[in-house]
Amino acid sequence: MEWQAIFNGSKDIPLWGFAIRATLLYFALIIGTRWMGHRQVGILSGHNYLVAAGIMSVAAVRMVNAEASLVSGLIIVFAYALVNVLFSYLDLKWPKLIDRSPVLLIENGQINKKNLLDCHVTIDNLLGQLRLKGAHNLSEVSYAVLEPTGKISVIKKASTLPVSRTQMNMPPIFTALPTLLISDGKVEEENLNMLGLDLNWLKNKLAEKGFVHFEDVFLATLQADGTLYLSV
Amino acid sequence: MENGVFSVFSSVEKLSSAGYLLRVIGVAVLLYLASRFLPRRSGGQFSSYDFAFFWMMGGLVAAPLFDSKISFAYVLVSVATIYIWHYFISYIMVKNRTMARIIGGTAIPLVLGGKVIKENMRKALFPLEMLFSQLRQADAPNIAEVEAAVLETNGSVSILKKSDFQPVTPKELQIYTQEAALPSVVLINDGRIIEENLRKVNLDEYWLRGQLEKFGVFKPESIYLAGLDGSGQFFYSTSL
Repeated sequence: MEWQAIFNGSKDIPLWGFAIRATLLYFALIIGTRWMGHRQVGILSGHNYLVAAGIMSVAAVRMVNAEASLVSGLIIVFAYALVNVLFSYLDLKWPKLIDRSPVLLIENGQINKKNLLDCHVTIDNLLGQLRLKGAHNLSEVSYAVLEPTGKISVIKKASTLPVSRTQMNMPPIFTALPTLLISDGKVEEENLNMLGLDLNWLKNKLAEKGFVHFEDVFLATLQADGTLYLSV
Repeated sequence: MENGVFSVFSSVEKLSSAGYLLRVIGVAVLLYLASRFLPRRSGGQFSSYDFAFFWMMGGLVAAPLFDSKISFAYVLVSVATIYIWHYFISYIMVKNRTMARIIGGTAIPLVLGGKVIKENMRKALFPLEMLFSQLRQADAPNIAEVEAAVLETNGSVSILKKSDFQPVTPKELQIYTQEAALPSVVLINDGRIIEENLRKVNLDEYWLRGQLEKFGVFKPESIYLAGLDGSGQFFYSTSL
């Protein structure tokens, strides 16, 4: 009887019933957000974020309302996640249709007044964003783009960027993302094998640095220049 | 109103405006307490399950204001439950990488070796337009400059530039650099000399006054901030 009350809602749910309700909704939300994927979390283009917070809190409010059913809260969460995935999928198919496109606020060093007005960006907003990006002088800026996410990205003039290796006539060097070899004392054998290396190689490398056991090392990564980074 | 003032915090059919006012104060206190124990991760490092947490908390804490029938007791129990779960999961994720991957997901490489990985773009539901947008935000407007780009679990894209486009480092030019050490030591704050910090770096007020006199400052009271930076250099700033 009590379980039915917890799921369908009734006037008198015991307090521990709310603990169970909270647990269920929390895990439903975790599954939902995982399903929506990474892009939902940080980037969250126009159609995602604001609604997400609102809808999820509606689900949460229903959960603590004794008379509302928990099932409806769960449905809200999963239905919303489904719609979100669907939108993301449509965005992949027809990007122009779903998402807003980036807008040029500064073009070839000249401020585009019309676009500023269209996007409701004030001069002070723009200058503030440029300062945050380290472009204090407008003459350093080649392009400023208002991204679909609402952030402003700044492309500086090439002459104001740090000197690059080619400009110094330096030969290219090998770059790649470093590979994790040991994490929390455990060897990532899969990564080792992918690089065509084995445990013996790693053992020798560690011995060079004075370590005998893998467990003594907290973190080890192989960097692009072939050196091993170690953290104990 | 038979139970006195506290009845506004329990489940009631109707609530007066004054009752809601009391509830707002209750919610504010609850919000403050909740924020005291918020998960402490560096800014932007939140992953999807943190968002599940935040989204729920927002609605949950304010719930007594939605409906007079929602009692504070229900909210407290629910909030406490979610906090316990959240701490438990965070703990497990730090302890066990397999669990961390299941709950938090893994970083997905979008560009490797200068080539866009179509398969991963599709899997992450990531359109090209969005990749370009993220590259611009990471100061790599030209995809030809990018060696690798990774969609991190917090939703942002990190990039590694090709060596040709990486800035030259002092090491390559064989320029000697001094390591910046943290933290800098504050010796004068708003005109007051901080004796304790002076002692920590084995210096005294006499030395400090000498340093200031070098810059033509004879009254430490006129200094807003002075100290030693990471490399041991003396810095000071007067107040206007």
